[in-house]
Amino acid sequence: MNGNNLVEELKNAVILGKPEEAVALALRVIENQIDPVTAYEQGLKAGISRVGEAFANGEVFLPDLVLAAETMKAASAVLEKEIVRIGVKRSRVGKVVLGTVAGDLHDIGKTIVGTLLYSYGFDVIDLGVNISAEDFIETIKRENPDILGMSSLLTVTARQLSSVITALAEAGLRGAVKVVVGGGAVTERFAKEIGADGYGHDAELGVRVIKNLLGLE
Amino acid sequence: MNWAVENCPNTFQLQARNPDKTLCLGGETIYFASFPGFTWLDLDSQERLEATVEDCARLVRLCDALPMVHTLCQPVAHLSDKPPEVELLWVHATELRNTDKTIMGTAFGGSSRWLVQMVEASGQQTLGGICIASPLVIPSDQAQGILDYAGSNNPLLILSGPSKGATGPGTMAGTLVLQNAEILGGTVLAQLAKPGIGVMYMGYSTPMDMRYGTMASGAIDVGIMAVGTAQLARFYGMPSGVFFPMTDAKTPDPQAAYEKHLQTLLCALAGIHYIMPLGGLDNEGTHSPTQMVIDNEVCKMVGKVLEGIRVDEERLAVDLIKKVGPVPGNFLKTEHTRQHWQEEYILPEVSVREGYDAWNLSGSKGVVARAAETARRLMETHIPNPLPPQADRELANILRTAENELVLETRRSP
Repeated sequence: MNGNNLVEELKNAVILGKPEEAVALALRVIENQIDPVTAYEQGLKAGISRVGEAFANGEVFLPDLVLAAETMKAASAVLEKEIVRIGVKRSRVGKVVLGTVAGDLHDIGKTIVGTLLYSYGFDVIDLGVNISAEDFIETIKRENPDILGMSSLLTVTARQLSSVITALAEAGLRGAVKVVVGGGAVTERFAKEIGADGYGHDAELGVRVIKNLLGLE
Repeated sequence: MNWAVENCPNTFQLQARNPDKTLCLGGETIYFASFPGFTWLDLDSQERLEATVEDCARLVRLCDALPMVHTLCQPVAHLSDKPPEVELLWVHATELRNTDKTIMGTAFGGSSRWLVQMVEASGQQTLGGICIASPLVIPSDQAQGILDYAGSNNPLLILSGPSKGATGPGTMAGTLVLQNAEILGGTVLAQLAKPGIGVMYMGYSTPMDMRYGTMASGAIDVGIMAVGTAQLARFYGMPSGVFFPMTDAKTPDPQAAYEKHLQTLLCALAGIHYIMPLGGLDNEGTHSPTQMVIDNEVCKMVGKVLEGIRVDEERLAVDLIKKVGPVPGNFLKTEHTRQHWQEEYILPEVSVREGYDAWNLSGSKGVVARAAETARRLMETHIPNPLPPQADRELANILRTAENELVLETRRSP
């Protein structure tokens, strides 16, 4: 099979949301010594943007988008290793660290933000839920992201957003990263009050704010 | 688990400080409760507002004034003039100060510890609300809430609401299986904390809208799953509740009406004991006093549905029909009509029933404008049965202690 076919199949695996197939294809890409950056750009990334576009047009739905993103994640882990090994670079739109603050277990809204960003080509590090200020800061030091996105659904944990921003300043990192907050318990007024750079009440607005902050829209 | 379920009483009381307002959950009676919002909807502009303590008090007084609000869930979950650490405690204190009806408790961020002191000071019980995090986690503050409420002899509601397709399986049956496991998990902890404590089996499963990632709280699936919730609660011999009817409509409009009231009717016909149709809009985003007044009227209609048609000699009126008929006889002039018509008809307060010309002459106002007027009048003029001064002072002390501990000390130490 020639390289173009494999890359095309990789793209289709992402569109159809088939992680196991995509991982097997990524391994074959490496085996056949096809350029991993090409496979990443014209396979995975082309696939996810197709799905992202179809989602925006209302042709496919969240389960399709999320499975496509999961597929891309699984296959890109394989390709990334090879890209690093042969020492080349792939294009990057921006890097975002996401998490729900300490004391709050609400996951879904933040996960959708992450998936949408991923489909727009962002590198997304989703730390999960119940994340302490220390964990956020450690990740920012290690990953050097453009954006820190934090979520709080509960009114009682909203204050944690402010604690993280204060801790960032104390660690001398406040200027290094833009902070975007959202979630059910966060109002625009509160976001301003605690010194966040952006506020998105829901996933769609959150993504728009992040693109604006990075000058992408 | 079987031991825990067998320990749950089929019925239990929720004692109010005014004994007339005490509920008996699990029996023949269905109760309606108010529904919370993060913000509230202005009466004139129908825009979202953040509530102050004074706004919250006026919203509670409206709940107190409306007869179909049998019990309260806090009208708002957020106050703009109090620190976030204690805003929920201020909301609960404002409820206790402005109504002698019972209120639902919360356990977010440790609020249960303070609320049990407040209800003791005001001489009543609260229905301790415990929220499970789907799938399959009892968060630590909620577990603490179970211990706090059960330990102080306040009955509990264990509330599980997987989102169909997101935090629960994509099917109604699967979502109900998960909801059931979560409610029973909380019930086991409650019965271990205090064997025999009253526990309400409560659901709020909603599908996710796969276009926007929002909880489709007004979907008809919510009402259908309520029927399943009622059947499961009956199977276990526990009183049942639902944390809805809800709607995704942002203002009191036709969507709000059909979504909420289809769900309300399904819940009532299924025999759910504790239903929350009053005042909610925008899936917990907003509490609307205008919508409250409309919902109050619908709850009366639903009550009427449950009463059905009373059939006996007197009401069959066969002799009367023989006597009055044929035309030009009529029944308006009979004593029988005067005696019975009100038993079987609700005089609506806000629905439009007058003829076109009369409606036109009185300003052509639709139900939303009429409901807003009623809400404004009641919020401004209704005077609740006041909390005794001693209890009021104790609430103030509890709030002060909580503020010292949760706000001042936390902010002093890093």
